[in-house]
This record gives sequence, structure tokens and C-alpha cells, in this order.
Amino acid sequence: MVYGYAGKILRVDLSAGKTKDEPLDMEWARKLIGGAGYAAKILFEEVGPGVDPLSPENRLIFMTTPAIGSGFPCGNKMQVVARSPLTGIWGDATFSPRFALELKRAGYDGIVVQGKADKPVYLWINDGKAELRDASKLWGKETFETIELIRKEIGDESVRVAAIGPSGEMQLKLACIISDDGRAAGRTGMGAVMGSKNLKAIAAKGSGKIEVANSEKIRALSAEAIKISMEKTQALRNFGTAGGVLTFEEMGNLPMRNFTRGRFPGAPNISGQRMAETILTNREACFTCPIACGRYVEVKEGPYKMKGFGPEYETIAMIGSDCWIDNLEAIAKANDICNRYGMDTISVGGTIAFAMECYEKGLITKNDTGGLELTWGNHEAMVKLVEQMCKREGFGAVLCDGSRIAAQRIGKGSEKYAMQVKGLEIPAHNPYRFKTMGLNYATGNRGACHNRGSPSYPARGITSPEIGLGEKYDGFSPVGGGRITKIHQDACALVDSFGMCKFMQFFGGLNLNMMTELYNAITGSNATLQELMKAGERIWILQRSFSVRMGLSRKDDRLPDRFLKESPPDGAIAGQVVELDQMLEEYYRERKLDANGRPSEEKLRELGLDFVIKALQ
Amino acid sequence: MRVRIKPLGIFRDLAESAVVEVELKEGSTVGDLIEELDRRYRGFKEAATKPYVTIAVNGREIEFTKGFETELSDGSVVAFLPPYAGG
Repeated sequence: MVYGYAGKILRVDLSAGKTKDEPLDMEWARKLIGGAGYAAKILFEEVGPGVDPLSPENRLIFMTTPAIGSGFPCGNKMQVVARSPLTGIWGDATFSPRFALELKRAGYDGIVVQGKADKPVYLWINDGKAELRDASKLWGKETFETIELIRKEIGDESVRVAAIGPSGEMQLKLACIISDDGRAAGRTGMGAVMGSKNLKAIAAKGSGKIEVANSEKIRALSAEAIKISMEKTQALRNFGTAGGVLTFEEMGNLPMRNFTRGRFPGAPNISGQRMAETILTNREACFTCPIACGRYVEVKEGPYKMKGFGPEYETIAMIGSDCWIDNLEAIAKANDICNRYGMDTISVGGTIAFAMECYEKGLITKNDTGGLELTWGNHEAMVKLVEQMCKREGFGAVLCDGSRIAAQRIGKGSEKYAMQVKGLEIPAHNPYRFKTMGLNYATGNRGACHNRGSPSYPARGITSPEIGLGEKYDGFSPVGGGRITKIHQDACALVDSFGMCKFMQFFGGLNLNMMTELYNAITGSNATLQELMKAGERIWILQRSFSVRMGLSRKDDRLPDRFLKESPPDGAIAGQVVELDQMLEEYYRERKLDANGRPSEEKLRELGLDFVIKALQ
Repeated sequence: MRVRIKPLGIFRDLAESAVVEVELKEGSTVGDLIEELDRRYRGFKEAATKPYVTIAVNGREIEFTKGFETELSDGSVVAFLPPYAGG
């Protein structure tokens, strides 16, 4: 009996129009947990450096995790993985759609898609049967409309769907994948890869049971987790992730004006508290989640009239404060456009902030922007530009592939205003405020990401003594940053591949000892936390190895010069710079990376990744 | 001297205001301020001294200065911040 896994992978060759089942490799499932961990081995073995991310040879992998189907609160995360067209290296995006549960109940731990269909198709998976269906009539449709049309065609409103919108079809490098319940596999351009394969959507329905080793233990742990987390997550429930805006502005963690400021007077206007007083209509929860940080909003009238899933903290900060915009209705409208077209709101916001700074510096003018005045805080121009980016129209065609490519298109030295690492826009936790976050961005496997390592958690009092991060440390200090960041990245690789939401795992107070008990109760293993943390490190190193094979080296482990040489003039972060080199030295030692940024042979052998050694030579 | 208080979350509920100004004598500390706020708002001290609460003076957490002995000056901004997250 296999516990915690469905036991099968669905292979889809779109060029041949064929599907087949293959067994899950249980030895590697144990070593790499699941999700982006398991997918890393497939990607490493099947996608070499000569494979263009948007070519049929790239793989697009949808991978579920052991926690899915266990019924444990907030254990519903899955990943989408491919070589990223945005960064050229390891790409992945995590989300928690109900689609994940249906896929697993339909009998599959994951789907590996290769090739390219000769006309648009969607994949319909129904209790162990997979079928490719014509999607010609869906091509050009927005995400939610696509989902409804697929449900209508199948004749079942309960079918769960993940789809791309027009932006993915156009293979825009910021394109994402959106689920019927409004969750986004947002970052690194996974929607573009899906579009490059002429794959419009995947629909799933399953009635199978996912066997677990000890359901009684899972029930007991679930009750304990809910008890521990309820008080700590009260603010998330009341005000959503955007409840953090006021605190983060006060602390200097909010990105403001393309990371050049430490104060934003408009913060109260875009806070979760303001949202609750104005446009909020419902709170939304992922499957099995008692926290419900998601929002549903309605702007009843005016130019930003809309009704749909509400903006998260990251969206509000990147499209809002980072662009000096404090109009919540405009942000909600921009968020809704991105959801419907299928675009990553973090990168869209970061790229517009880049354009606004270029405009301020005179590198672009109204002649370049088609008349749009890209002044700081101009929410009308922002909403127009978001729509143009999603449609690759007007000046949006310059920006729609992210700030690194936009800087190449604009030239004139504009690249210094692009706040990105390895091509991925820096998200909404400020490296000036939490120096380890800067190191984490510089070394993150998918580029600048706040989720593949959140080393600022302990500095914010969210400690993890069970993995040696028991002390609240000074977020302004670089001392020990290499060690802290390495440990937190490994922990996040583990938590993601296991399928837990970090709002329960770290913020909610579910420590990693409890997670280990849960892992054992689900899978029937007898693993220790140390062994699971080793698995986290193995996952991290394997993903890094993939990127090294794609050409990544130490020179890419950088932050934009702004963070190293310029200081914000105001707020809590006034006078700060990020001491990156100091932290990077320590980090390389902790990681056992060589001078070129490659994992050492010693480390690869220790982790049982011998097959990587030859491939990297 | 006059200091400005920014109470967020539970602290805003207790103070029933987004911003509060308090007159204190010269040389007062964060601890003195909390006592004053507790006199005004029942339960403020108990909430403010929980281990996961962040108190910041001009954006700087007090555990990295002198804790409750951190001295305040005219115009100081003191924020009381419950645990926070932001995805």
C-alpha cells in the first residue's frame, strides 16, 4: 500500500496527441518528498541546456504533494515547474487550487507535459482517464470564461480547472496559470510555457480515496494545529494578507517608489483594514484552510467597477506603494485584469514601477508611452498600462516580458532601475529592512522570491527553534545571514514539496516537529526532522544544479546595485544599504558552493545526488 | 514632551484610534509610556508585553535598543504591532 501518494504520473505528449501512465518512483518520492522536489529530478534529467523554454522540448510539470488529500488544515499546495522563459533557469510556481485535490483523487500525483499540440487543446482527466480535447473555440478567451465554458462542455459544474488566459496564449513571459477558485501559479512565466504548447487548460475530477497511514493521528494533529494557529492568524482572517501594509510601512518593509523610499503616506488607503471597510464582500479560503486570508471584492461604480477575487498584499504593494499609488479601487481593477488575462501581478507591478522611474529620469517620454503620463501615483495610467501589458499592446508591448527585457528594449542605461534578480522582479519584502531577504533574493533558485526562503521570519519574531532559528535576530544586521538564509531556504523547499501553506507552517505556529509527525502519519514513514531537512537541502541543491546546467554562476547571485550603494532617505530604513558580499561569503560556505556557484561534489554525494555530478562536468 | 503612538490591530481596538498623542515628562521610557497607556486603555500593558508583539520606536524594534528602558524624546513615534504576515 502506498500512503500519501496516488502512485502514478500522467505523461502527456502533445505533439503525438498521446497520454500514458507511469508509476511514481517511490524511492525518489521519499528522497524528494513531492511537488517541486520530485519535479526537479524529472526536469534535470529531461531538459538540457539546449532546450528553449518555449519550445516543445521543455517540460511543463504539474506536481501535487503528500499533504494534499490528507484533510490537514492548509495542506493543499502544489507546484507547476518548467525551465522558465522569464529567467532561463529553474522555474516554478506554487498555488493551492481545489484542482490539486481533484487531480490526486483522479489517480495522479502529477502530470508531465511535453511537445506541442498542432491546434489548441485542453486536457480532461476524469478518474484515471485522460483525454485531449479541442480548445480552438476557447483560444482567446479569458481565464474564468474559459473555465466556465469547459465546465459547460463537460456538463459538470464541479469539475476543477487550471487555465491560461490570452497573455499565456501570446507567451508573454509574465504569464501565469489561474484556477477556477482564483488561485494563481504566478511567477516565472509558467503560463507562457503552457501557451507555447497550445495547452489552454487542464480539467480534473476524481472520486478516489487517498490512503494515509494513520488517519487518527492526522485528526489529532489537525485539531492541535487549529488550536495553535487561530489566535495568531486572526488578523489574516480579518484583513487578509494586506493587513500587513500598515505594519510593513511603519517598519520600512513595504516597497515604496521602486524601493527608493522608506515612508508612504498613502499606506492607510491601500491597507487590508481599508479594504474591509470599503470593497470587501467575502473572505475566501483555500481547501481545508481555516485561516481564509483570501478576499472577494466589489467596486460598485466608477471607472474601476469590478467584481472578483481581491488583491493580496504582494499585489497591493507592487502595483500600489511601489508605484506610489494609493487608490485601492484602481489596484483591485488592475488585479482583476491580471487574473482574467493570466499575468503575474508581482512582476507586473515591479515592471510598471521600473517604467515610472524611467519616465521620471527622462529615459522615456509621452512619445514612447503613447501619451501615458507615467508619473508616480498615476493610477489611471497604471490601469491602462496593465491592460496594455496583458494584451501586448501600445507601450505594454515593451513591458509585458518583465523589467529585465524591457530595459534591453529601452536601453539608455535603464537596466539599473530594473529591480529584478535573474530576471524575476523583487517582491514586496524590502531588502533594506531585512538584510537576509536581500541575500535570499540574490540566491533564490527561481530568482528574487520571498517564498522559496523567508529568512526574515525569525527577525519578525516568527522563530523556528527546532531547526536552529530560535532567536529573534536584528533584521538590519548581516551577521549570520548566510547561515539563517541557507536553513530557511532548505526548510521552505521541504514545506513547499510537502504541500503546507507557510501561513500555517511558520506564521500559524505549526512547527517543523509537528510537520514531521504529520509527514509520518500521512506516508507511514519513520523520518526524523533532520532527515526531512536533509531532503529540503537535496531539493534545493538539485534545483540549483539544474540552473547551473543552464549557465547560472556566482555572478548571477546579485542584487540590483541600488541596494548595495544607495540609501533611502526616510523612515526606518533611512541610511541603510545591504551588505550582500559579506553575507554571500558566509552563505557559499554554508551551502558548500564552489567559487563559480556550483554545488561541490562532496555535497552532491552526501545528498545522494551522484547522477548530477557527471551532468555538471 | 509629546510622543506619537501608532497602535495597530488589537492595540487600535484598545485605543479606539489610529493615532494617539501622549504628553510625557522628559526622560520617559517605553516602559513609562506603556504604564500611561494602560491607565488610559484597560488591558494595554498585558497586550503590549506578550512575547510576539513588536514595539518599535521610529521604526526600530526596542529589543535591539534598550527594551522597555529605551528612552523617548519629543516627537518620537512608537508603534505597537501585533504579529504580521504578508504573502
